Amino acid sequence: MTTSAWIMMLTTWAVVIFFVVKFFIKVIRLPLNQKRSVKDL
Amino acid sequence: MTHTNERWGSRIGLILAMAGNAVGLGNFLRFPAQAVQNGGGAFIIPYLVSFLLMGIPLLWIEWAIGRHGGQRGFHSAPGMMQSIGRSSLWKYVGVFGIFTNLAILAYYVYIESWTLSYVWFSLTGAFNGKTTEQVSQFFSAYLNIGTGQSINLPIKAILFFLTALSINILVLSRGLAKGVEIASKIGMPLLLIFGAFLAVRALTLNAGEAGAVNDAFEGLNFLWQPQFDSLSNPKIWLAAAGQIFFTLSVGMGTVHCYASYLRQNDDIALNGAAAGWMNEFVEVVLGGSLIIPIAVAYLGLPWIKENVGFEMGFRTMPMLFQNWGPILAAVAGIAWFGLLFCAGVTSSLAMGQPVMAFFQDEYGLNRRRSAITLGGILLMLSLPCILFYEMGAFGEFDYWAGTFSLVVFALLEIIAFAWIFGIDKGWAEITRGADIKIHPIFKYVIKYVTPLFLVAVFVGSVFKPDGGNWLAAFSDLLHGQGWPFATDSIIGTILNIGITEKRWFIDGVPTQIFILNMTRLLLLSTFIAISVAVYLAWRRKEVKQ
Repeated sequence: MTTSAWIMMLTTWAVVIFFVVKFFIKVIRLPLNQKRSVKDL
Repeated sequence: MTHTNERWGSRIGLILAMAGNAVGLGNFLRFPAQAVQNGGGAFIIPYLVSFLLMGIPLLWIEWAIGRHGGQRGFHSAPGMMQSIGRSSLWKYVGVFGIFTNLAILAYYVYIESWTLSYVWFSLTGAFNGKTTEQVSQFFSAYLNIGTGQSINLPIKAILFFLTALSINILVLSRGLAKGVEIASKIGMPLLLIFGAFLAVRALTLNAGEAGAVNDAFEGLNFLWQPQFDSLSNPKIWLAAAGQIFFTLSVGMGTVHCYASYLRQNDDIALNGAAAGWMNEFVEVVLGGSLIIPIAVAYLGLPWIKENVGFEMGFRTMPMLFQNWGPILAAVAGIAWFGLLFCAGVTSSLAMGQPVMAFFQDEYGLNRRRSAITLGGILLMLSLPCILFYEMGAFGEFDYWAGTFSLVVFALLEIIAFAWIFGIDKGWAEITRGADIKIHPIFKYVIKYVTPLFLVAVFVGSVFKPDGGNWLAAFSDLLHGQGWPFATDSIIGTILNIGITEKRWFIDGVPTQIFILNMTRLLLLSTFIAISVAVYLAWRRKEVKQ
């Protein structure tokens, strides 16, 4: 693979994986009904 | 209207169902082909720009319209569109949100059934010892095409279609939490496992090993090598915007429907972003690492350039797996087609749910009866796609439901949301209960930039020039030679450009143009029938009040 292809691929993968992991960690840490259950109480 | 008590069982289940809705066959078969044909690595730049400026905003809008509608007892697009529009006529725009799902399901479940049958064929060793040509012929024989007959009657394919349809109807009849959510919780992780297995195998293919003539990285290089000069070509931008649009399953009414089962203050900002980025992971990272590297390793670049496309997944991949020995070939076949089946079924369930919700909300049908009614309608609509596959009925369904309607609905919904419902109210709707802070710039993106992107995609589809060469087309126009419409542009399709035989029958046998026109008539009739069903449902409500 050429250097430019490597850079293109790895940069894209890094951006995509960063956001997937970032958002999924938040999703797992904050269950959907957390805020609701506090309000319901 | 009946107020359903259905809710999502868990947040992760909701995200997986939403991501499963977006992740479809196109992630593995369409994205690599689009990237290869549109500038390789440079394609990813307009692709990601389109994702940020059109894809993510559209997802948030649809989640917001859905949650807003759900609070008012609507779980399908007609009621939701009326609740954000200022006129009751907006409910007829919502008809697109039912029509699109029904019409796409009619052919999508058929493709899904191919993947199911190919899992079976891989398991039973049906491809063992077959050449490229023989595997390709196997596919033609399976669909009963290439026989010279005007009607295709593929008995085996019909049986597998009925099986796939039954699976969908059964899961949908179990409801949201016990059906769709459980299916997504099983399907999405399985898809990732299958994808990871194949990606590892693909990326470790070296020239000279297991029959490979090239390193797999040659395929990756082909896919990712940036051709920056292509960035100035509008064709590349339109292709990238189109790919983002179609991969996220926006403009269909499915996102709206799933979001309608949320509560008033449930987050949609983080959920929408998480589901959208997960789709990107599956498409860009997994989808880009499978079909092209494997095919280039065995068949070389020139072959790929000529043959890259949708059917390659069925006509070519089973033969390539044979190079890995009988056991690994069977495992790879099961993984590849199992992955496609998981991607397909999570999407088809998402498309079935809005139609079911319409029957339940507006006609008071219970879940079981809604599911059976949906199954019956799909059976009728699918028949032309199966029997006249080769004559183009399948393609017509895909074009008018899977391309045209999506763009029209998305364009109208963003006008309704940002300009009629109002961007201030819309922004408040998107950010209420948000678990992430959305940058305020997106307020302006939603009001101005995303609609412009959609207008560009729509105008691009209507006037797409031959070969996608816009500069040459404008030059032709300025020189008085007219506009060279592409055969797959909306105008080109309406005018049947590229079809030379205009007679409907030759010696009593229907021609392709007859089948195409009848298919369009069927689709139009379906749209009108849904509009009438919406009208009658609202009249029933008025009488009850």
